[in-house]
Amino acid sequence: MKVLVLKGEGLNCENETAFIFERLGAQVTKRHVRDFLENPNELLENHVFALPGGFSFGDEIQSGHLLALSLSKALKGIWSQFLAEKRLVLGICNGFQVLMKMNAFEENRTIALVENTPHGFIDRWVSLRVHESFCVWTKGLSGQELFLPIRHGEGRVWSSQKGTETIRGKIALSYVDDVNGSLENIAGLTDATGQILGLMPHPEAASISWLLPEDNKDKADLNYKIFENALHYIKENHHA
Amino acid sequence: MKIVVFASGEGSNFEALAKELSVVLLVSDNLEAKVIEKASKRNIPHVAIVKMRDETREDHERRVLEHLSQLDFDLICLAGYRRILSPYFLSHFSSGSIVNIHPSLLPLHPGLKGYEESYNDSSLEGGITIHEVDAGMDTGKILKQVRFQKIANESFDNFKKRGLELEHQEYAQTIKSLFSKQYYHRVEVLPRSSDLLQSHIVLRSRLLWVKTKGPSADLLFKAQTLLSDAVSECAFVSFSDAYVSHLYKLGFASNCLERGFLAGVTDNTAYSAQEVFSSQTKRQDISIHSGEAWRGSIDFPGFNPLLQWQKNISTPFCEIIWPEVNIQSVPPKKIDLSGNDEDLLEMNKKNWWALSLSELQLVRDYFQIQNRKPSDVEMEIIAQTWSEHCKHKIFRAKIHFKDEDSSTEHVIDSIFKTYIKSLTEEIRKERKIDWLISVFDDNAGLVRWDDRLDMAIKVETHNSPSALDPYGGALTGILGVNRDILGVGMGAKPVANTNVFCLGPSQLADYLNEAWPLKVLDPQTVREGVHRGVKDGGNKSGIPTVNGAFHYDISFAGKPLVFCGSIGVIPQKIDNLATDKKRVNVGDLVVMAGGRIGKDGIHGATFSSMEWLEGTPASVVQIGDPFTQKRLLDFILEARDLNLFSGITDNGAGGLSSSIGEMAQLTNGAKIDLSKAPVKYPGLSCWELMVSESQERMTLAVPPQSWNEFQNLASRRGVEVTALGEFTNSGDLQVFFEENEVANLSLNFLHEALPVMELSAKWNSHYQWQDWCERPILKGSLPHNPDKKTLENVILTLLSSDNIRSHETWVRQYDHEVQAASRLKPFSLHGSPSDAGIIAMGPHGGNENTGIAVGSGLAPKMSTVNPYLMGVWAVDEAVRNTVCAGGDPERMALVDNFCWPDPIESQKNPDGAYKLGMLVKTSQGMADTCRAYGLPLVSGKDSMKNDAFVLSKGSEVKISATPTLLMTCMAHRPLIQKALPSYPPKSDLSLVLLKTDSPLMALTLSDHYKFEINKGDEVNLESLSLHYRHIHQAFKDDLLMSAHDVSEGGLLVCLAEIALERGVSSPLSGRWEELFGETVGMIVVSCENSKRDELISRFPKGHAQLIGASTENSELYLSHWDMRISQSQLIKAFKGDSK
Repeated sequence: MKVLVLKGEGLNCENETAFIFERLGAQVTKRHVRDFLENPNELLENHVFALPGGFSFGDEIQSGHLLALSLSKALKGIWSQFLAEKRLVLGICNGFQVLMKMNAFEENRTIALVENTPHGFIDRWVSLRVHESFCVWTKGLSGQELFLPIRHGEGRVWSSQKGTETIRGKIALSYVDDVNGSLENIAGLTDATGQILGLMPHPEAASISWLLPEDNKDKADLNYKIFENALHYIKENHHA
Repeated sequence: MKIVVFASGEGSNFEALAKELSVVLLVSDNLEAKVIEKASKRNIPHVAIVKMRDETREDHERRVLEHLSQLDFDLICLAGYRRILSPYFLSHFSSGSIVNIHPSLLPLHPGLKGYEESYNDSSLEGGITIHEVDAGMDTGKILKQVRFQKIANESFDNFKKRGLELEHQEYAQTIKSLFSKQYYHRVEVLPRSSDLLQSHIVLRSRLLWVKTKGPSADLLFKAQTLLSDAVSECAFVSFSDAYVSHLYKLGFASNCLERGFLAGVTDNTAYSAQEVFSSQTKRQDISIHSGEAWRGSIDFPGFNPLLQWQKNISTPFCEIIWPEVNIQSVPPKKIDLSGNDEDLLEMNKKNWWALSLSELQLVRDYFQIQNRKPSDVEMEIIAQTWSEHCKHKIFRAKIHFKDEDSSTEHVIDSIFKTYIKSLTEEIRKERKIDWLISVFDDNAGLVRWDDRLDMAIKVETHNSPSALDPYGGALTGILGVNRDILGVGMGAKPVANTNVFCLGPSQLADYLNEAWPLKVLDPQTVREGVHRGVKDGGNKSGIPTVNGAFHYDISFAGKPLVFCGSIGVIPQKIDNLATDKKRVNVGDLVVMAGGRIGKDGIHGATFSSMEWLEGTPASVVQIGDPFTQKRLLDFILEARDLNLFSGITDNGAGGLSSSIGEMAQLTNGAKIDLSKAPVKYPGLSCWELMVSESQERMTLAVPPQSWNEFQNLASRRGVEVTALGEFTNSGDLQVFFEENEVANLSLNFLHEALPVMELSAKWNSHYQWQDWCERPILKGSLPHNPDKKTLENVILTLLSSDNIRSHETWVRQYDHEVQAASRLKPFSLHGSPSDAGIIAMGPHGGNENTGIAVGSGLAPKMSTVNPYLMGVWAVDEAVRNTVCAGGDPERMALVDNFCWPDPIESQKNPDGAYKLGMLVKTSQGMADTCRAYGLPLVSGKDSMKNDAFVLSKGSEVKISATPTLLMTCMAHRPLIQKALPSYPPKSDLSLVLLKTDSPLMALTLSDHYKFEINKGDEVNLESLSLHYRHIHQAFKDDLLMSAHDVSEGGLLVCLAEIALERGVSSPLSGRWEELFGETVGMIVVSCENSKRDELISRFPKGHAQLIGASTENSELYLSHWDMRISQSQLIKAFKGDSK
């Protein structure tokens, strides 16, 4: 399995994201955003495209906004081919915000990631419920509870339609408790193909037991299944 | 200049425009219009969008806008377009983006019959008007009018023909002239719906002001997509009905308070917006400012007049404030030092050199011998190199110390040498330590406990900047200390940050019962600001904040103490070359990398009475730019791994002067040309370029053969790098501006000539520290012996007191897990606090089984009671905290940070000698403890003028910060898999108090109740050293299940903190002092009952004592009094409303 992890321009979780795929035995390339934008076709040489957490371009205008504009422009045509070839996309935290702005989850976007309520950045560990969905990444986990850290200030899912009708079947994960004011506690979404997963919590920082808080160490293996699912899918579809 | 023409008819004006200008699209509303043929002939793209019969005007215009949205264009020109554009259409463009030509002298004869009505009126002349388009009919701002005389008996056709000729001539010319004008635009981004508001009474929205050369219709048209989220926000570019009604929908009126940055202040949002525009549009000629608009009914927080302007605006978009840096550079000039001492002192004051008279005389003599006058650049270089900040003159001074207690006197040859450097050398030798790689001579201390990595540590203070602008001060503090890590050896990577704040109590203003003194910010504003600064600094740099503390005292209300620490890692070898030393060679290029130079931070140390002038950039206070620094950091680590440079150092205090001046010592010389230095804006003088402290810059040495590759990589990473000159072996620092030499100073003189200061210090244990205001005694007295009721009250009161209560809601805003190596979290599930942070080394390329623990210790309360003991306590607490986290007492490195009020006696500072005496005593306490524990100091910093003069109740009061020593301990943490939490992981474990026989002092208790404390005796340091080694061995031998430090509030507060997470039952009894006393060496651990006896047997008699058990009940139970406090009561007291 070949994985491309973006780095640079304010992203900052590329090492742990690469690490977790390497642990699966994947061949991981950490590519600087600027180098990637010059040669976006490289995407098609990889099975997984991972957008890690961070503060891309400082997130001064709105989280993920500028990186999404650049990627959308560079990946015109490539994106749909990438997905059609049964390859996978993972966006964590800032990566999720970027995918959202790239309209990766809906053709005509009705949802947005906005400032948390209560307002402000928060770092805490939370329980997450996995939903029944097409999502490749969460396959076989539905009904289970993951335990992951959230570290964000703009992770509240908001819909201009006031409901989840427009994203029916695309909710991959939700928080067990209300942690940021998200619509129906949504924490992660998938797209119509199930190949994309965008989520605010950080599974890459919660798949080794000693990284978890003492009382929940046993959750590490379950969290790790997200990545194992990707490996199985790529093996099945690409024999890689 | 690209224009879009709207026309409906013949198209003669269109044709005239097309001849002179680049028309990118013709829009017509009429399929048959002749103008379309004309466009065809000229190969100009054209489109006819006909309004359908049942279509509304807006729907028709929406279709027009869709066409325009795909296009790059600057201006819309109406040329005989027979529709009036609706407010809806106009709201997409800022004013000035649409122009029209009208065949009359407006305001006469608006409408479709301009020529007819002009021809028929009684006037002697006709004319044409070129004007901006607004919602009215031909009512917009007039750009140009040209008149022509009527000719008697002239036919209408001839009159019109002459008019049209004039139109054809003038329209294109007028448009061309617009492109040399500056246009100012305002963009306001509002939430789309009221349920996106954080508060229903206040609306804060994002503002961007954009300056372009010439009109820029599409630019703002595109703002919607470029600057806001399509679903949750909407961007407005003009004052329109849509704007007003949208605001109304959100529950607010259009008038607002606008706030923006003053000229020259770092504006990160603007930089980001600038990136958007330059990457997404083709326009390069724009500049951007950012700000915010506030609406609602209360006072709007966060205004700082040193950095911002604000103004009430009744009609937004109509009046635009654009701050512009407008400064003139002054050519380098010679300074005449030949006058008498008074002249010298006068010059010194005027120029903010902050040198002493003897130093000034030394400089004068130096130049006299050379038979020349120094330049202003030279004087500035000397002044900053010799500043207290850079040379630590007080710490290096010869001190005549008089101990009035014992009536003895002796001379201390530099506190730094005696109590820090020699001490470390002594310990290194005695313990045969081989893991100290670099101490006290690089940007940070460097130690080796791993077979692959070295660890760097540095702690800085940023007190004065934080007093002026708490946000910028703390932000630049954290970014600055990260650059110190990046500047150590060949460049280490920051992997953890720490922060400790000493602040004024937030309710102080209420207590003083007066308005907050004018000259300093109130404690709440300071706390809010420094908190945000540390948050942004760490989070946006991707560095976890793993440890810290909040401490409150009335004495910190003048200047807060803001300690920012950072830990980094560096591979021991890259390409088989050692990384711990720089390897600069003669001929290597002097390179500046990162941000540009502005007036920022010039004379940062002497800001207190700077004058603020219009058009002068806010030069002392500065805001950091974490994103620019993150780019710089990533780039430097990449370049380091490619071996593209030979040396690196931080550009912090003293700017280029300091960084180049210091690195030049490696080759014994450097030569630079300041004209090459990139600047934020023109007008900087040479000396300013040399000493500016503009942020986010590093200075590097790059071998000439690597320069091309270095430069290429930098440009691919969006980092600006500039070669300013080269390293030489001339013995001099030579500075040029183009051809002219502006400074030439011997490095030897610069770095070695500074004379040692001589100071006198006194100590007397009866010396009384003077508080600047009366201390609040909040509670009454205590009964002689604790009773159930009072005890419960005391526990809850202390648990909720400023220096003990939880800061979890604040701390959780600092990312403490990024980089995925944080082994220990700052809080348990219910908020029981941890004693230290742990970073695993495996994820950073180090040994898989190890990590480092980092803890801190400070005891400002002790400083006025017994400064020697403060030194002891600070070291001990830092060590104890890391031991509690499993840190190895054999392998610990300490960092000292002294923050003192002015310790030099003068008229304004009559007890200065005692303050210096406190410094001596504290240093002795620190040194004795380090020696006893066998622990070296690897880095340190001192900040010596923590006094503020403020007005209180009408008179001037000096607020001096309590002398404070912060110790930071970095320890090797073995067995990374093995946990050592601060609370018992389950019930039915024995709770054991580990302690020595040091005297107890109930300091925190006495803060809140009338309670006499003794001034304390010396402590048995030897027994403590062994104590911690026993504890660590017990941890390694699996005897410990948890460990929590007994600190502020003493034993019962410690048990209460444990009970936040796990039930505690204890038979403890005793006097107030035993229950709430604080001292060195106390830790509460838990262990399996079966291992309890073994654990206790390992300690001397009385040093390990069973004090209870963990239980399943969610409560703290003290059986002696049959007293229960439930977990929820404890949580309520400890967390409160967390404000």
